[in-house]
Amino acid sequence: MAMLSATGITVEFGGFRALDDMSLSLESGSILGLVGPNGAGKSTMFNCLTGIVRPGVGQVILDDTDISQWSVHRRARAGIGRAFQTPRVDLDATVLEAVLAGVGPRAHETLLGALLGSPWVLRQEKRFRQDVRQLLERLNLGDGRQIAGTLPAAHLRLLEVARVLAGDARYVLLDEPAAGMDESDRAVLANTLRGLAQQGIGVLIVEHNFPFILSLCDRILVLSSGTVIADGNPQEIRANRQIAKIYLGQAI
Amino acid sequence: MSTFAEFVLNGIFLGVLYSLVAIPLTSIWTTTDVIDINIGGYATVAGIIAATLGGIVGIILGVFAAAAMGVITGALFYLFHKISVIKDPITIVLATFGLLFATTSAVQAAVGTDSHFVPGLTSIFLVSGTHISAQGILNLSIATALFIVLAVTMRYTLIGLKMRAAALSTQSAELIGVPVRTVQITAFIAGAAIAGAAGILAAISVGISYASATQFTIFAFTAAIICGLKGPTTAFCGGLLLGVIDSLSAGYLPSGWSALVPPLIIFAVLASGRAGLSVSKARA
Amino acid sequence: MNTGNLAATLAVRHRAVLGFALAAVVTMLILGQQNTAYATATSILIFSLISIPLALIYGHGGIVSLCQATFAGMGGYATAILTVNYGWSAWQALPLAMAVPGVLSFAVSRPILRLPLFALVLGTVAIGEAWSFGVSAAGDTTGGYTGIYGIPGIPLATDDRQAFVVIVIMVAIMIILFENFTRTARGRALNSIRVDPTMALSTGTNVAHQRSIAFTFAAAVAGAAGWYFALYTGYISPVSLSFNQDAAVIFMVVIGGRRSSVGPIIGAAIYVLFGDLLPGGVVQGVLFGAVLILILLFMQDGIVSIGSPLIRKISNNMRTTKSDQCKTQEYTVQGSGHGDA
Repeated sequence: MAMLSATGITVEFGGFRALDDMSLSLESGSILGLVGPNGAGKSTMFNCLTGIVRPGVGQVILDDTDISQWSVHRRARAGIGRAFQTPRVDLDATVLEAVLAGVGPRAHETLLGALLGSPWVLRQEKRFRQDVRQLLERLNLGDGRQIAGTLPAAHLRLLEVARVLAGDARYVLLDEPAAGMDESDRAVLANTLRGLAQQGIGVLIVEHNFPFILSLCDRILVLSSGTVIADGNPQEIRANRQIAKIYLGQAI
Repeated sequence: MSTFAEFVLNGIFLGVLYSLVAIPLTSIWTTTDVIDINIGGYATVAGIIAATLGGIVGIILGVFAAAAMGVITGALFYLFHKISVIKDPITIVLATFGLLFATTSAVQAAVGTDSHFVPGLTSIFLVSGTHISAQGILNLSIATALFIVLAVTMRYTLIGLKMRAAALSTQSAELIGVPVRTVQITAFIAGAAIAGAAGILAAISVGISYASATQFTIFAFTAAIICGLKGPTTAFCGGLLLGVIDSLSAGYLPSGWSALVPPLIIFAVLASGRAGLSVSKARA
Repeated sequence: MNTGNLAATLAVRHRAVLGFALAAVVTMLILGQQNTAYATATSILIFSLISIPLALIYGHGGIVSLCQATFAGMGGYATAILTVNYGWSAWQALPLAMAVPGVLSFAVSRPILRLPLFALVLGTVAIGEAWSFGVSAAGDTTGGYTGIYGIPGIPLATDDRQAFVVIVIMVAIMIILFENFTRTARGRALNSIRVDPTMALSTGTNVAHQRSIAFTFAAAVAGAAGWYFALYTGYISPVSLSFNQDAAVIFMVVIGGRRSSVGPIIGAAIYVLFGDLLPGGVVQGVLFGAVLILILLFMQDGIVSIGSPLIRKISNNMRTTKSDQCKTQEYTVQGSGHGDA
């Protein structure tokens, strides 16, 4: 079964329980939304899936393999791509170079090959650059020669997403990619993500923009205080009045 | 033929000097996120000035010179934060390295490569078969006194409170009205002065030369991290511990090899991962 | 069109080494067959060979190594011991001159590079101190404080100019390796390690391992520089390549250009020439310290970066206008109902 899943994850920081027996499964080709108030544990969940945080209890499973003990970079190379809430980008580099930073998982050159500039390495480089240029075009990020630091915040977020996509990830984890975007950028993003799902890539997206999530996702998980309090398709979630109460801060 | 007890005692007497350079190193680190690689330079300059000018005047001027160097470092620190976008935290550390380089060259050019001494106490007591130097007792007393003054200042005075606040978190300290930049520059100046005192005591006990700047920095750093780079108290204990280890290895290892001990300790502590060097404490 | 692009890419990639080769050829034409100035030029290039790898690991990778010259010293001592004490030929000694610092640096890199970079700075200073003391103390093998004399000369070189050619070739090779490496995924990974190690991890880079590899590579190249140094001067001692040179090398990289393959050469030239021309002692030390600090304050990417920001700024201004125009067009398309919901 092609899927990235977390089962029974419990994470404690000091005395604080960030995730409490939480489970999640992201199927390939689907778009899963993760919503919840701040501090609900969404970023922690991401960190568990990518390996930055090792849960005290629980497992992370990638396509039937238990990857709970795998390092962050090994999981990245296995096809898990992650966009951070605050874009982590080399602001001094050009957009092209910044996005190229994401092709790491696809690059298999040896040290010697890189030092000597072997034909194989040069060809691989050329292919990467072509792919990234096409990616930039699809996302309306320009020709890539602009310096990343000069981009407005919303485009930086798009750049962050582009970097993840450049790595040909099979499971893409996006942490609030649409924050601060206007209609047209969001539309581009939504189209891109739907396209990814059609190609068989699993997309896990955290967002606060409810209409966006409802229109995009196949399934939505609602998180609060480290546990899942609702799980269903967009219609079910929209009809669930308890969630609105949690989001608006009133007691249940 | 020195006894084991004598090695240990001499180690303590020398170790307090390491403590006196290690303490300002940790204070500067916790308040500014900078490892001042020129900490040994302050000590060396003070020691050289005290040795060449002589007398009480020399000693006082030595401490002042060290403090003046601290002003320069503090000003540089301020300039860096004001002028450049600090993308690279190592930048300021490299700058202090430049200062160390300049200090070493300047001292070498001014007084050559010989060791210089400040006359001190020469009497040696004999207590149940163990020789104890009076100067050593003086070193220990002065260092302990300085440490106590520092500890009391940090704990019970307003300026101490501000320094601890800034050390804990510069952002939070700013929010509650602590003049963080002033505190930081004070840390540099006071730290340099204390290191200067250490240099003068060293000039009395073991002599000081142009090469002392680097060596003192290495000792300061080693002493600071042995018990974890946390604060003045651990630095003080670290210095004593290092002094004893150093003394024992000088006594029992074949000649020349004992100089390897501090660098090797640095490796061991760094490798163990317990050096307490995670950055961003001050930026939390 | 494809071959044209390939040629263009090759040209950019190799313009650094071509420029360097040109400068070297011009120098040889000017200095002729015999000239005492070859010693200065060779000295500059020996320092360059030690510094250029530092630009790679520090400028791109953020690894501040204050013991590159020490690694060169290790290579020099290996060369000296093997040729003088054991009668090896210079060529036979070269692999070991690179392997000794390589292995040693790799062994200490793992524990040290894991930690924040402050630890690294002082850790490398400690390496330098440890080597310096160790070499002085191990009198029997290393000649103690006096060092080792009588090292044979550079192979294949019968005069200063031919020896110069050898170091030119070595530096040229290093420049090529540098320019190749920084244009690949591994090079970008090293850059990512400097900019944001978490991002580097998330893009599949084994940060700790790559840092070690980089550190080791720089040490091995320095070892080769030490090999040449020992053969060229015929003599090595604990102070030949020690703390003063460790400091000088970082100075060269910072001042010349810490992200550039030729910047360190400029820095080395400044260091050697000013050292020769300026009165010794205080002035040199204080001046170098001051210049280092000024560069760190105002020109963090060194002298070679002077041209680029200006050019970039101009072309950016031109480009931003263009992308603004595109944006306006998008909105127009949106307004006429062609856009997506």
